[in-house]
Amino acid sequence: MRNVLWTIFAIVGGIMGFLMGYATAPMIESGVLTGQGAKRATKIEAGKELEQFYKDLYKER
Amino acid sequence: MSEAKRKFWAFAIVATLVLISVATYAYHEFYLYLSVYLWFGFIYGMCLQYGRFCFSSAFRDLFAVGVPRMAVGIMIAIAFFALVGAFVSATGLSTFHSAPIGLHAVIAGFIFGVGMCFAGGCASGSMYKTGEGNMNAALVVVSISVTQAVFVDIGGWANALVPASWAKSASEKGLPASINVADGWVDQYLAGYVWDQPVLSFATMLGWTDQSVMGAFLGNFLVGVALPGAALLVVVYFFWSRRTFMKKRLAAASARPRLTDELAGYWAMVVASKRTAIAGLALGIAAGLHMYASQGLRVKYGVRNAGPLLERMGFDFGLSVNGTVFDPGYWYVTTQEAQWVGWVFHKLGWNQMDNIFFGFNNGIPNPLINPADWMSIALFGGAAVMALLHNEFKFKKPTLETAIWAIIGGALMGIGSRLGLGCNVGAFFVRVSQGDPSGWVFGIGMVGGAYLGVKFFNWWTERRMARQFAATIT
Amino acid sequence: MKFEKMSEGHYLLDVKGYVCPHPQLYTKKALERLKPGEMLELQFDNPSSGESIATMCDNTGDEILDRKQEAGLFVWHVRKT
Repeated sequence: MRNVLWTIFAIVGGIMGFLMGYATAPMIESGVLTGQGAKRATKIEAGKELEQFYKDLYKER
Repeated sequence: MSEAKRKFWAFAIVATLVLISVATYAYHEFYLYLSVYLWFGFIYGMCLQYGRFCFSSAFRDLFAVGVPRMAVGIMIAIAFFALVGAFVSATGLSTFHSAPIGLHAVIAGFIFGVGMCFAGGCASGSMYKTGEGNMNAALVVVSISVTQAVFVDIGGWANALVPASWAKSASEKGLPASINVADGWVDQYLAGYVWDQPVLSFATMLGWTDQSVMGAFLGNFLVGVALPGAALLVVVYFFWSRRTFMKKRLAAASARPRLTDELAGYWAMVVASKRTAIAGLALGIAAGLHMYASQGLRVKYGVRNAGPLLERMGFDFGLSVNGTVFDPGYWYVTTQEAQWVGWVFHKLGWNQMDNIFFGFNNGIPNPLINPADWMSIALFGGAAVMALLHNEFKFKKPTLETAIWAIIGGALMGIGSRLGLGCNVGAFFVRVSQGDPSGWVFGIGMVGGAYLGVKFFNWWTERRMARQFAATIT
Repeated sequence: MKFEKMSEGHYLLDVKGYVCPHPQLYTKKALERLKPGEMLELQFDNPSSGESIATMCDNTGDEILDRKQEAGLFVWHVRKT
């Protein structure tokens, strides 16, 4: 009986682990858990070379 | 039942639930939201059965037979749920909202308290006892469910009982025409009275917000739960536990108990029933994690309520006019019970969508895809598994006497839980744990009701015992 | 509910089928009526009552002599002190 109980605990524990992980991932991604709120790091740093490249696009040869 | 048979049934229940979760998830990702309810329901059921968790006995056994075990167990569960809940709300992830506070909560608690004495168990207690094979408890569950669905839709003659001020206030709320707020006692009670009551939490009363660390831990946890809870247990200790403990500890009658003796006695009371304490701890933690998991999936799916999820899955029947369904995101008992019956009544031709409870707030989705119903069904399963493995499962038929108590008690609990917006779990356990003072107010009423119920049963059992005793002796 | 005298100083209380709070209330009332040293055989099938009865006996000092449990039925012997 004890073994059965522990087996069931293991099954429930496994499912719980899956659910908690599934719930945690979106919260980290959206910044709720990390405390960043809406300030998501989406800004891509434009380097000097890249800016020059875009400017150069308009230059007529 | 043989041991092999009991093992088989325990595994069969678990396997069925696993299969439901996996199959529905394979069909559509959104079903995972319902599976969260399912597995937490299963854990609640296991904990309740293991700890013989019974909110009604918390107060009743104190008054009736002087046993403080369950009062202690519930305070432990509340403390741990409150601690986990404080973490969850400090990070802004709580799914909890305070309820309006007012005199109605005391009255509702009182009616509920009398009811749970009569029924021999609270709303959640009756559910886990149903899982133990107790058909008397199943009768209580049916009675609670039916009473609620009938009670929330009573109109007609009952409209005459509505105070004019409620009717006026309710009509000014601008509710949709489909609700027809002028018809229905509970509608006007809710919109015309309850909604006008203040909504508080210990954090906001102390000038913090629920989402701040100070508010969650100092306000809601320390001031709202830990201090009053510890103080309550001191009262319980002095009235019901101290005398026996001191009699054993201080062999010499002349010795006066010192403070260390008192503290030892207090602690001994807390850990007196290990089962109850362990179950309380596990329940508290699970209830907190439940809020966390629900919130995570809401973020993931971009919803605030399961209503839109059901709609996206193609179930548009039974959603409220707001497009929502009952989806508390934490442990709840009575509303989903009402929804089963509300759905059946509606299908039989009794329009249940013209009241606030179903039509405006909670909806009556098909019970098969009702998120909170998944929790209740799994709760039966969890309790049954635990009862099977501890050889406590027994199929019990009600007698006429116990059936009458069950139906009366269930009906009173149904009415009390609708007036108080929840049962001993939704209106007391969860609210107290989350720092909502209205939970304590409901609790005060519940203690009063339990006291009256005990008085009645004391008289009743005394009378029957006296008769039997006289017959035995002669 | 059945309360019977089985032999001298030996009583039977049968509260099978009852849920809380009946078993513990009847047990309390039965024990109150017994004389010290007399024995009560207690039959109940509501698991949660057991916890309460055990604590109650602990408080009053009545002695639980043995506890048998078979397929959801509990049979306890309590001696009044």
